[in-house]
Amino acid sequence: MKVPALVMASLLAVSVSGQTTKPVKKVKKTVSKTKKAESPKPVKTAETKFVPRKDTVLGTGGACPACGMG
Amino acid sequence: MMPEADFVSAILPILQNNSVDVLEWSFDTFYDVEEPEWLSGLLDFYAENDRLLGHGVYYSLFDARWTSRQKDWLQKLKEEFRHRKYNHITEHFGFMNTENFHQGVPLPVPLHSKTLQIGKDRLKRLQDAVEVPVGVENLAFSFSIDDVKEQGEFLEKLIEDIDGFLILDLHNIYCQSCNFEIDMQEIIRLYPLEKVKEIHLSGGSWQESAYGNQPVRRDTHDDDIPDEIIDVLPKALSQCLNLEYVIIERLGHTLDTDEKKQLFFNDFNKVKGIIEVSDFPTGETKAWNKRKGESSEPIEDLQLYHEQTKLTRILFDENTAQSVKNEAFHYFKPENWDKEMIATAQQIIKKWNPY
Repeated sequence: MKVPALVMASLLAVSVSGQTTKPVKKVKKTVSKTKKAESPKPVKTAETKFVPRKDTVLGTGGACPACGMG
Repeated sequence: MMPEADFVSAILPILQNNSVDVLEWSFDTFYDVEEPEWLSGLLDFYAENDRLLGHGVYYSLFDARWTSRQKDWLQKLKEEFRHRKYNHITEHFGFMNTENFHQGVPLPVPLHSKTLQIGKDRLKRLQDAVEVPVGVENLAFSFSIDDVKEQGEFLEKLIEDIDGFLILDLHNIYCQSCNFEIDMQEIIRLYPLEKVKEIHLSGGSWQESAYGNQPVRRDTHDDDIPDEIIDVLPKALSQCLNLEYVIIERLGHTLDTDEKKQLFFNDFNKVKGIIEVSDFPTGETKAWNKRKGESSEPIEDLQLYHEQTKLTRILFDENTAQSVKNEAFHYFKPENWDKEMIATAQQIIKKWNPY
């Protein structure tokens, strides 16, 4: 089955550029247009620990756990 | 199909010479994320030509509770199938029931009337969501030789109500063969081979034994297909009379050198050569008919749910294999489990950290 030239060209471009194709979240970044006010001196607070949200996909290098032995 | 540039680079030669007859895509790994245009273009092209297979990862067939996670998964599945045509859809045997659904690892469940009932219920809901045949893949991981020996029977019972089919993953069977010292053919014969519509091939890796024994074989999809699998393939092709597809699995980021790409290319051609001289495909295609049934309330079992949660937790925590074996369960029988495989489950769970 012959893959159309246009599709092949796009694959070739990906291959050549070696661009990272990590999934991009469908969340638009908000752009702040206001000038930041000078912040007061930082106050020391307790260190916060990163807790993954339910159903977050953490960066795993593209590996797949599905077979159960990965 | 994998979305990494290294993978694209590796498959370019076989796409260019029109050798790739079918693609398999794990659509749910891209739920909530945007597909790059080149990927959509390729998947759409294969879909439009009736050559795209859907392979789910995160539905969790044996989760003893029915929650919004599975409902959402099915809803997104419907959207995906409205948007793109798949020839069929498959999922994996096992359960993942931790808070972070996308970080779980499927663990096997024992054959029991309740576990079977739950699996059938989830599979029926999956079939109701789509208009294509539904199948289940055998799991590589087993706690004991009993798990290995009963999986074929379990899968046969699981799919019988929906006229479902099986993926026979030969590397998963190779893992069991190495880890429990059973001949691959002996395990293959325990499966209802007339139900096999698809075969998976892949490579994996060796993990050092926690007890100074033989290394443990793991299904990591990061190396070439072992010769033992290539050797058993012709026979497997002749045994599976309703086989339609043979898929080679490989993680995209593990094809990062020209040498690895060349070896992957060689594997592809080796498999293609074996298929060409075999009687597969037979020319006759079995019809896998969707069964209509009345909708009912989801089946749940709180005791099983608590046991699944407890098991995942004690494997994640640093308990000794012996203390895991000493834990009391109703459904699970850890006293019969292999210590080596308990240690392996602990390592896999640590790697994927479901919490």
